[in-house]
Amino acid sequence: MLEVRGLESGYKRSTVLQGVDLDLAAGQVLGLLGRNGVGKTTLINTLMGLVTPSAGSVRLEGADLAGRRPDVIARAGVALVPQGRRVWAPLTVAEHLALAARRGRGRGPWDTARVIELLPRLGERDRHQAGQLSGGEQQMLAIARALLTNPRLVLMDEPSDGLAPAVVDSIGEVIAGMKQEGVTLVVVEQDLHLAFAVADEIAVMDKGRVVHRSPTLEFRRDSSIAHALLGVA
Amino acid sequence: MAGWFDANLVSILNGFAIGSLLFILAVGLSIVFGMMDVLNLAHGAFFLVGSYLAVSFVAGVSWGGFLAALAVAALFGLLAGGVLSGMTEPLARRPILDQALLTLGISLIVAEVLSIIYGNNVRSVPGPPGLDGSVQVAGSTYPTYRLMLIAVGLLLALVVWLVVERTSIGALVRASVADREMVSAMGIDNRKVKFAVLGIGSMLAAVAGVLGAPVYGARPGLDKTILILALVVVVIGGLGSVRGALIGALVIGQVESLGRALLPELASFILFGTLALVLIIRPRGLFAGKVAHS
Repeated sequence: MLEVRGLESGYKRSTVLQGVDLDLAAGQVLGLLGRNGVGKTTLINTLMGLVTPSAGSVRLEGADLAGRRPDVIARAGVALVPQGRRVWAPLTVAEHLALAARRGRGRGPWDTARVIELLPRLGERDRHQAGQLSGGEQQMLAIARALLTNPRLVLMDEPSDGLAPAVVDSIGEVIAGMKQEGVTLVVVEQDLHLAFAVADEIAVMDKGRVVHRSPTLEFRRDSSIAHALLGVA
Repeated sequence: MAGWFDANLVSILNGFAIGSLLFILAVGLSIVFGMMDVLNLAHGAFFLVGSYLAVSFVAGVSWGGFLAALAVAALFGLLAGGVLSGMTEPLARRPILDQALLTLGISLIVAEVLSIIYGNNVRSVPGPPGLDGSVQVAGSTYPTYRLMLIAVGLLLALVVWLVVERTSIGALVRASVADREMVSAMGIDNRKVKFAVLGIGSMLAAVAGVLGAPVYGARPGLDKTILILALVVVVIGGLGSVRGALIGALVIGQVESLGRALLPELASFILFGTLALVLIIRPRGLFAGKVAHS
């Protein structure tokens, strides 16, 4: 469903992505790994339209999205769970859910009731301002906000960042729940444990390119790849 | 204490009247700046257009003229804000200063056009019939119109607060102030939100100009005086916050009125002294609605 070819992108003075090729099938969960600074977040933000690509194409079920505005890309069916969560601090949980649900109503299976079933904690906190939530709750809110737009593709950027191990486990369960519902996902993760737990396949980025791709089981078996590309044993 | 209060009642009431007017003026400026990084320096010029519309429609002679001036000012503000929203769009990815220069240029043009049409004399506008007199308030004589101005200002403040804090449209505005990129990542076109907020903010500025005309009259240079007061309110209150704009406006209203009455020798210092004091204690303003993200 997603087909990225020769994608180049970056910021004013530096090109970060140096020609990314990436394919994703519907319903697949891809774990995107790589050291700091190899371009994972830039790739996610370019796919969402927050960073404008200088070359290459991004096709979602045939429609070319490269260089389009974020709102156009979102309406085409892409949702973002961004690095740092970026919930709207002054808005309540209920306001987040209402704002997202209004965009996504009638476009797919996700509605507020179903999202709260997956993330019951949000139901208990619905009158709280997002800025007062714990990191884990904010992450769940960011996931709920993305799901309620009824996306075809969800981009998650380091969902475990800064969270306690027990909370990371519950985020993993939520991602597994999304996968069961058939959501297609790209998950950028530093936490290998989480990435291995949720991903069907692992892709590794280095120096602005995707340099390796293999099924998760295979990747775990061959520790030399992880060692060479990620610097871990 | 009671004696002090009685002696300064007129100044305090004047402070509320100025504060009400400043809120109507500043709330749009604050939200647009907080939300879209558009510093609309033409805001004061839109106010002055409203004041001159009050002159044109001889707002003081009949209620019809006053209401017509309000309606035309509202329409003008809405249109002007919409046009301005379109004009700032090509500069959206440029630094704030580029947009500020654009709106500054527009404000100069508008002020010059007004000066050509209306001349450079001070034009005074009486209050509409029935409100042009004065009433006794706790033993002091006070202009009726200013009391109404306080009431209208507080009513508008309540309406704006309810819309921004309690409706779904308001939630969208607050979300845009907090992180507009994430709003667009939800499939919402930021430009439409900016168009609406700039339109309504400019409408409020022009309406404030009509409402303020019986107090300030209409004259060249009023646009800059008013703009500076509104900017001080925005900085004190914090960007993008309705509550901040209200508190900031009421504080500056009292500083302008009571401060000038009690410490006339420090009059020109006291406004900016207050600004400096707030910035030292709370550099982001009293109620910053804008939250930085990494």
